[in-house]
Amino acid sequence: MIGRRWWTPWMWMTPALALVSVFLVYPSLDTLRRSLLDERSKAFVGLDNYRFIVENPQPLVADTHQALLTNALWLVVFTGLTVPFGLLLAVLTGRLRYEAASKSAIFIPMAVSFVAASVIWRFMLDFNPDIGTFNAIVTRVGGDPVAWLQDTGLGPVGGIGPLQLNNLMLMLIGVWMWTGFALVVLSAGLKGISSEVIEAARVDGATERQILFRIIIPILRPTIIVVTTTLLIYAMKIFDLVWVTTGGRFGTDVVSTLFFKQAFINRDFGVGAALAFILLAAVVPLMAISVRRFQAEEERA
Amino acid sequence: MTTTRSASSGHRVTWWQRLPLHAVVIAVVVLWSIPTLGLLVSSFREPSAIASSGWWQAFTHPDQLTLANYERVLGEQGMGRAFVNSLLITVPATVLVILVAAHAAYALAWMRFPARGLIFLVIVGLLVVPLETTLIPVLRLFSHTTIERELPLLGGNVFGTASYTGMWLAHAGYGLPFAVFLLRNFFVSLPRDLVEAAHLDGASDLQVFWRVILPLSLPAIAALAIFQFLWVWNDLLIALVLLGDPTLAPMTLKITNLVSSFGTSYQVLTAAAFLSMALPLVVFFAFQRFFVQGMLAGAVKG
Amino acid sequence: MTIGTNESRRRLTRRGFLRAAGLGTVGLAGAALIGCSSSNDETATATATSAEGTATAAATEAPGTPAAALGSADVLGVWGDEELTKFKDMVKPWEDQTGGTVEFTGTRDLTAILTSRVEGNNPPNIAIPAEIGLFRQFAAEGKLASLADLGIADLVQSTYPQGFVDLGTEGGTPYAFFMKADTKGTIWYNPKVFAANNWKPLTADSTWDDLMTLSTTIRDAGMAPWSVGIESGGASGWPGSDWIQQILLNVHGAEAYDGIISGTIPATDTVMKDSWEKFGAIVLTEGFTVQGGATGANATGFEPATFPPFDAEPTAAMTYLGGFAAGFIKTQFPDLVPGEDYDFMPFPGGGVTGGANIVYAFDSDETTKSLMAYLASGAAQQVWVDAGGFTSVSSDVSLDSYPDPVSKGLAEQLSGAKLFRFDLDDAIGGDFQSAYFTGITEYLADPSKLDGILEGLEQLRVT
Repeated sequence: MIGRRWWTPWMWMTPALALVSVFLVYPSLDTLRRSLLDERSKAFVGLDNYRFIVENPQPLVADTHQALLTNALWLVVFTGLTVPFGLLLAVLTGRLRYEAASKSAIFIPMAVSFVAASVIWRFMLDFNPDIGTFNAIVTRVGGDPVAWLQDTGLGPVGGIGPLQLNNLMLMLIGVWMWTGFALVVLSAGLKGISSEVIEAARVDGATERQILFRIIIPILRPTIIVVTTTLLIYAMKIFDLVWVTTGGRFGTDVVSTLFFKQAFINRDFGVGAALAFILLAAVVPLMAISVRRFQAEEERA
Repeated sequence: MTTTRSASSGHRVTWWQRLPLHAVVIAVVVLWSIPTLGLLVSSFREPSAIASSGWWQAFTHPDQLTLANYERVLGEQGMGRAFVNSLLITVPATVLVILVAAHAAYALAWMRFPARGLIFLVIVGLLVVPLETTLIPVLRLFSHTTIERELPLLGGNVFGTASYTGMWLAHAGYGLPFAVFLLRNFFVSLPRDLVEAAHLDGASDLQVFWRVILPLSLPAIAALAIFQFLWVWNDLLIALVLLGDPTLAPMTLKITNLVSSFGTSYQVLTAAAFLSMALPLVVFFAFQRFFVQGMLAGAVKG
Repeated sequence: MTIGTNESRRRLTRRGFLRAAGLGTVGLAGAALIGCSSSNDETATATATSAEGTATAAATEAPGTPAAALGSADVLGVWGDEELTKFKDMVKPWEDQTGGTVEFTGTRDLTAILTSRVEGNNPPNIAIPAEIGLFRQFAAEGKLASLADLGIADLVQSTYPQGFVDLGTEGGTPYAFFMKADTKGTIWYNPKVFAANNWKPLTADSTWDDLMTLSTTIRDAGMAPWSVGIESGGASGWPGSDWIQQILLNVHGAEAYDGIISGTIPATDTVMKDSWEKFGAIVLTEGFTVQGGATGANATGFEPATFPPFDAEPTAAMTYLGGFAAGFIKTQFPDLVPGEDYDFMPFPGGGVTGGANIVYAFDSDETTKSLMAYLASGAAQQVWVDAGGFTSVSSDVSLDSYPDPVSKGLAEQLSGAKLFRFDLDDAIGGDFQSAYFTGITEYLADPSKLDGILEGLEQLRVT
């Protein structure tokens, strides 16, 4: 290959490595350190903070179990809706002449800041049917107003663990915001699929559904994985949306909001750090899966 | 009966067979836009109207509409400076992250060195670090390394808290994992022969980078630029904690000053949201055509 | 696998890229220059005004006028919107007189931001939060400048009620004073509706039973007696806490109240339980609230909950919220006349709880000292009082200077209350406070959980 000094790649990597070390690695190590210390980060307490999280002795202040379960629900529901939705829309809009316009319309929620998104959704989901769009529709068809963002059950029935109406609504808002992202990425990937392949399949008599599942999805697999990975990681650390809309109240806490409350409001840095570290550790399995894919790629190259 | 050629195949379809397609897409677009429309409409309403009736009622009561909210936001003392501050923070942060990530991505894609796979995965894995956990350690670091001299032309300190440089570096750092993820995957998909030919012609790595790779990568870079711009432009938390000097405050910070301590100044928030959204949308539409092709190869190869 | 149109991309040459980048940078530099020059204009005007200001030392005699122009003070607080405008008006005389500038950052996440900045070694000069939990911790950790350091210990001691002076003292040393006080002993009602129906407003001598009787009467007459909303984002539940502490103080007395705060009386005691249940009775009794039971209360924001008694067609008779409700009502219904169309009656029993914004400083340099002295003075607070929506506890502000009968009434209630206590959950603060609020929402959703909730709270006191 090219005659390179051994230090050349490292020169190229240095700025990135430096920035990442200062702003991401160092704080993570600091988080690990604090997770082993007490609330004010003075005395060593070993695994006490982690035990606190596992035992959840003070659900009124910090319901750790509920936060972990809710985060898990986010992973499933948020990603599970955004990706297929984005894919479907990518396929559908790809066939239209007003493709760019429709894609832009769906992408716009991403440009809206979290504060603005929470304001408008508060208007949509307000309990008062005179103000809240959803409840206005519900009452017009004869139902009772629903407390969309406060209901810890599922409307008329009780909730099952984190499966609460308000959590689902928050995820809905998340889907509203991020489908545009999935749509644009997947749509670009779609363009790379040569039309002859699809044409040939159609000529062979394949239905649209078969084309979607047997041709498009397999070819798009790498793209789908990129989008899914990004969204999964985002769902793990979801913070702004929940914090600004419900503040974690009424059972909507996730790990990040709980961390925020513990560290910055209750000034308990120990438990806060332990929570954060659990999040950091949870991404490792995800990365492990990526390792295999990566190695497969290396073989090819 | 008119027929149309579908965009992706030469197959003939009648227009009424495509009706469900149109119906579904248009329905989705409309539903998607309703909340944004509600936000827009609310920004033209008085606070008393916002608090007592739904935004759709503004259509039946056009006398309720007012420009007062926009006047309030635009007329807020220091808002113009805040807009400039937002630019001063966002643009360099975006340029910086692109430059740094591109170099790292090039090395990760095209150079062989030990542990390159591991390093790539670690960088991408850092995507999960929640921003809030980094605030205190970074602030500590900044406060210990603050250089109190004034930065010429731009203001603020040369480095540390209350400095633009600190913000650029922080935002670049936070944006790197995604940037490296995206760019490296894109670079890997570019044709090897092009790069090899250039090297055979005697080009050094730097020359290949600037003359071959970067121009071909403008789409991916445009995509990255949009995301990073959006993200830094809308940031509030980092500015609140790391900046600490209201004269350097970006728009997001200024806008919080418009919200009463009870948090219910919705009329102001809606107008501010639209004003704040204006520039990122302009950026989005300007870069859009690269964007669509942009994520393409980087995404396909995964 | 094709990567699309290589040709078209290559047309965007490096030259084009650099040209775009160049234009961008020029545009950016231009914008920066414009921005810089406009802010230079502002500083120029300020220096000119301050030069004149020092010459004409107006009526505002701020203690300790320095010789040279002061720098800028970094103030962190919660105010925004109108409150912030009034605060800025309040400090303008100081700025004119001393040449200093007040840089105020208002944020609702004040606790979080303050914690971060203090932990990160970059605290503001002055902080003006609404709760005192953090204050206690900072003072105990020695991070604050004492009033003596700031040179205003005597001023505060002589012009503020002893109760407030004590509250601002930690470990024997005074560190803080209070401004913008609020009474929470106010029940808002529509005098015209009451007069039309011949309902008698409560007085300070009424009892809780009188309140319940009045409520039942109103309900039976066909109107919902109460409008209750406790939703408030991350702090949902706090209006309920105001209810409960008022009940605790008035029905069970000052000793019970103090005992709960200090911890000598456990949170599981009957006095607490009874107070919660009385509050529960208001929300949960059939037909008592226009929002409809627990769901309504939990889902309605505290601000919209103040509207129903004053709508064109009133749907509720009374709403309970602190003195700041006057501001909400005035904004929503700008045509209403204070005192005639809306007024407040004292919470039965005459005991008043309240809160205030606490002001403290992290350092004692010249600018900070001067600003703190100014803020503590009656002269400064008078400015905001005149603007409305501000109740001062400084004895230098006379009761007659309040702009309308309602604000005057609020100030009178604060200064004349036979029994006054600081807000209970604010006084305890910390995680007890957030658990308290959560507990209230959970209690309303399921009243049978009350014992468990109170036990959980008590555990927090113990640890």
